[in-house]
Amino acid sequence: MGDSLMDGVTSIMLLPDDCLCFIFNFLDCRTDRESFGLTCHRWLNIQNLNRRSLQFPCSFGIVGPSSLSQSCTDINSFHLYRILARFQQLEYLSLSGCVEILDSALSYLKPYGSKLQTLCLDCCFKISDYGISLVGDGCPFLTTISLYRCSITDAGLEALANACLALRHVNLAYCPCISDSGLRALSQGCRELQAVKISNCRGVSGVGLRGCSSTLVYIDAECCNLEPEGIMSIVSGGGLKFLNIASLSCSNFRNGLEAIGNGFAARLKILNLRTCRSVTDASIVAIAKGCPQLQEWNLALCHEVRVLGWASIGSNCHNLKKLHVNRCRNLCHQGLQALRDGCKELSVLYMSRNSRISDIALELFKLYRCNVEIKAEEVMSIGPNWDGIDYDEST
Amino acid sequence: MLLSKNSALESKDNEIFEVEESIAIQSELIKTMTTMVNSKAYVNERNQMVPEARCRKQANYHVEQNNKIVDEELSDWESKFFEVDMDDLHELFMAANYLEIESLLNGVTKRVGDFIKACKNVEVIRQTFGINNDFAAQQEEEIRKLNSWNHI
Repeated sequence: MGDSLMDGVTSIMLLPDDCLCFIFNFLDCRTDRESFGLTCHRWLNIQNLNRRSLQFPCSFGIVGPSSLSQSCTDINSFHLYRILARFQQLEYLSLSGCVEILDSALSYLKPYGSKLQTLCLDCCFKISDYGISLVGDGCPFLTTISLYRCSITDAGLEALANACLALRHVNLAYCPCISDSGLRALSQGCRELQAVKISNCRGVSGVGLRGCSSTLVYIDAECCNLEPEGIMSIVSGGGLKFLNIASLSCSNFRNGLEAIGNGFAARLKILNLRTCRSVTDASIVAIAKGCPQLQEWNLALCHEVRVLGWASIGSNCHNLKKLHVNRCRNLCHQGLQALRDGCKELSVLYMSRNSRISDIALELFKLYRCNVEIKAEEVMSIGPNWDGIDYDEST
Repeated sequence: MLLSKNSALESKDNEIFEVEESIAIQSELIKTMTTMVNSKAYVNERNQMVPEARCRKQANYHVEQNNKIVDEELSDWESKFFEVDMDDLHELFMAANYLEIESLLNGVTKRVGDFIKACKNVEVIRQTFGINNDFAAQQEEEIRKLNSWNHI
């Protein structure tokens, strides 16, 4: 700093807007940016035009002094109006946790929110199908939407799918009113769909995803009431790379998972079958043969997998890097030997509380496969997040 | 340090200066105009520009110097180059923006940005740059309140 700057009194105001934008974008901390905007109207306008993302203090994952200063139960229609009117170039908006927001607040999306690409409405319990239709109306270029625990129904999902054709990532976890017909509308209407999270949607059997686009690479259907026909529908797109069907509710599933190995899921890389207690050797053999690109497979608590299954994994899973076998009651030394002799790419084995594995068997494994790390932890969630997926044709 | 290929550039105030072509094309604008004029056949090309001020000369000077100095001295030289008053900074900014010279633009942006960062509050920014406060007290209060609502 220096006195020399005092001489050029109004020069900076003669700079064109795009130069001021350069200066604004150079500032990287919130305080500086806010100070910039408070100097005068023109600089405030520059600040407003350059804001691309916004989320409220109580959104999950944000912990800090600001999260204590205002409860999200205070956020209402008026707040949303002020925010959207001020920042009209927003591309990312999160209202997650704003439990008092009503449908009518979303009517401001049409005049002000048309550039939005990502919208999060997690736990917005008072939003109904009408509110979702306002989202479709106002944000036609939406690519990512999160509706965790929302009371959207199939009709609402259909309206959304018909309006937002560019949707790529959709989170419907814990939406109790969604069923296969809503899913069908989504998968048929949005042909660029890449990732769908339908975990804990009790009304979903999976058939709604039949004929989905090959761009659908990620499905998270943990704790769903899937049926064998639903599994076939899930893989029918042909592009699946990440599949999570942990805690499969249906106990009569038995060989129903064979469909995963039927060839449609040949690109599968990560498969989570944790706590699928009734999955049989026949299914394991089919999957091991039909999914040659598998890199990570979670079979923790899959008690019905026996020697035949383990042997098939050993001899067919040439790309497997990580395998989870925690608490598998029927992993015996023969099975472990089959894994030991196969799976050449294995680098991590998650193993704990396997009652039929003796210390000797374990030591033999370590001796022969000293490059495999053995970890005792139980990992519930594997693979990337639903909103971090990018479809890549070449991989 | 003349190479075989030189550009002759004329500024609006009719000053002509010779610049090595490799330096001249660091300006995106000149690069575009050069390719349009098809300079390959000519050893000395003459490009007519329509700049607005003498600051063009400074811009070219910077680019020329940039290429002559060894790396260690470069950052020293750069910080001295930008230690000018606001009027000159303004001219440099306009030149860099018009001629589309990225390195110059980054340098000037950083200089101004550092000044803003060094200011403790809004009032100091206004004083430093001579900005007139055109907010009513209530408007300013509203903006501060809006700022406190949300998180980046």
